[in-house]
Amino acid sequence: MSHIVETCDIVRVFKGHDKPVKALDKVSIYIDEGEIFGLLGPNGAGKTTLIKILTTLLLPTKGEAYVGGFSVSKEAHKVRQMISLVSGGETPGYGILSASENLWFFSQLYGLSSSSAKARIKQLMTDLEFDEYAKTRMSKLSTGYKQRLNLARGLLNNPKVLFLDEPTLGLDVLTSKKLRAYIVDWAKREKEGTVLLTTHYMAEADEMCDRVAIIDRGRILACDSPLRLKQKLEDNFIMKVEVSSVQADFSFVDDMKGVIGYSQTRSIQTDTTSFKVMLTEEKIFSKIMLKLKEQNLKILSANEVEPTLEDVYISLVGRGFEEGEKTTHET
Amino acid sequence: MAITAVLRTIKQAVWIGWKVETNWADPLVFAIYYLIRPIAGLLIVGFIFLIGSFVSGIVDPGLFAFLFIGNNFFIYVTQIMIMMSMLIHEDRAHYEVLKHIYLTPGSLQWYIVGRALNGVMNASVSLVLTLGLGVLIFQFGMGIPIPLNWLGIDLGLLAVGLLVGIVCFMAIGFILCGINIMTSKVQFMLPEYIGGILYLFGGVVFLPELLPWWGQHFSNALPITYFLRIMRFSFLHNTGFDVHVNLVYLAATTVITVIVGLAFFRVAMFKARRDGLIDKKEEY
Ligand SMILES: Nc1ncnc2c1ncn2[C@@H]1O[C@H](COP(=O)(O)OP(=O)(O)OP(=O)(O)O)[C@@H](O)[C@H]1O
Ligand SMILES: [Mg+2]
Repeated sequence: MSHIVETCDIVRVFKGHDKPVKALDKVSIYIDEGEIFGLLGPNGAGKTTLIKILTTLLLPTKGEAYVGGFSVSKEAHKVRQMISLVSGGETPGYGILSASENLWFFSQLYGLSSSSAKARIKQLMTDLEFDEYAKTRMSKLSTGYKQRLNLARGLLNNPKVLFLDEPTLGLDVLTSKKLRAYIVDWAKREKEGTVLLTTHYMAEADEMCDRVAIIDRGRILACDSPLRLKQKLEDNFIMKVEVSSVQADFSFVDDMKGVIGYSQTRSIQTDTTSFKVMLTEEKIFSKIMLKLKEQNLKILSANEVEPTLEDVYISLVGRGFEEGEKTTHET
Repeated sequence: MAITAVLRTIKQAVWIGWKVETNWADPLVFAIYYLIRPIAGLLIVGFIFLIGSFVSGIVDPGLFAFLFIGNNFFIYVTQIMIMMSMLIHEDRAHYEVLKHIYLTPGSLQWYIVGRALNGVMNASVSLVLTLGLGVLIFQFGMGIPIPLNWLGIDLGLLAVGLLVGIVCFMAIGFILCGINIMTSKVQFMLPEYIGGILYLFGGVVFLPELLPWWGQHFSNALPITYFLRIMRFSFLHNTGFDVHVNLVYLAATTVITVIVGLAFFRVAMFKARRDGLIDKKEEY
């Protein structure tokens, strides 16, 4: 067994409303033992679908995947013994039970003995800093603490591979930070602890992951360490411009030569638009500035920026992550 | 799965079931399932008996006892089916635990069994309640001398029959679980329909002999028919049936039901996994 997780040309087609939806299109990735692997992609990219297949909740339409050397479709019971799944934005558990009672419930389903279950629950609650809420009803916990509980549940069985589907979805900055740090720490501490995490937060993928696969419309577009992915953009120029008016229109760059891609972020609160454009040559930027002046937009700032994973995505797809949405926020 | 792990899972499921149920926000629902339903069943029995007595001109307390026992033990069928029919949707969409239970190796079916045991406990409470109330209303209130010797109940036979019957009704419950996992809304009416059919053909209040020939054949194929005969025999002793033959039939029909039920559930789980329904929350 060379890789702890491996997928071979996974295709998944859903029925859909009027026509079939291809959620995954020949996805082939591998993850090594001990790695934190990120699956980064916009909404509807197919991240959850891939996680569901790997955790044996869903069958692939075509192709095969292996976890720990076991086929997810044919040896699901073997796969289940070494994994667990934590999905952000969900609170699996019974609202009427306390946090610790919920953990106890799952520990027993995993067949843990009373003493080791108790010790493990206590440890996890201390590590994830919610022992003061141990006796609190789950329904009364805040979103952040619910997610801590959710993560603790996912760690009860000491999984070899931990699957995290947008683990920090909807959490405040501080809690997100804590959970990320804890997960990284867990993977290190467990030596062979492997994590597959999906996210649409660039920083999360960049900060946590040893390697990242960028997925869009069911296809893996690139897969490498965050650093190397960004290094590939070294020859390009990435410029960021902030202009007044939330209605600024940058679509004119569509027809310009030398423009690899761009993204725009609009803020209604400040009535500004932030525009990031990737160019093959620096001199194209002056043409863009000229066009902007023609539109009578006030330019608040303009400068070259270091490439991020979002820029990797822009370079691959030609648009930003949150394109098409009316208002977005920086992530 | 090791036997201790199975027992742990069942124990937790019973406990969760009890917690969830004793916490019903709507006392009306609680009342309907635990009180009104069994009492309504009791009144129907009384009503049927009175009409029968009126039409025939004969008041036969033996017939009353026959109806009374049959109806009371039918509670196990309804309670187990309702319990098992509700739990999939609740655990999938409301508590969001279904997929995680499914992912804990091998525990889903034992968890379901544990939850069904809650149905058994509820039914037992209802049973005691209706037996008591029935005696109070019909024997003491209306003066029907129910020919029941409370001290002469064949407890061994009762226990064996009940145990086999419960296994059988759980197997039917697994079919309901399978249907619910493949549908996006709770099939509220399904246990009612199935319950209705079993009520009609299982000889709860209508003797199978009164059914048309096809109905009699159907009745003979139902485990509930034999279950009720054994329950009646353990209370009333002389019911004109050979108890051993009926035990064998009950066991045989139960084995078939268990095989069919578990096979159906397996196929349903496979389809659910193929179609991505195990964690389905919204419509696509
Ligand atoms: N059960 C289903 N039936 C039909 N279509 C589905 C189903 N599940 C997912 N899809 C579709 O498959 C595509 C991929 O969905 P998926 O949930 O995997 O994306 P995602 O990357 O997790 O997105 P998000 O960031 O929104 O969670 C989407 O177009 C989605 O609408
Ligand atoms: Mg998703």
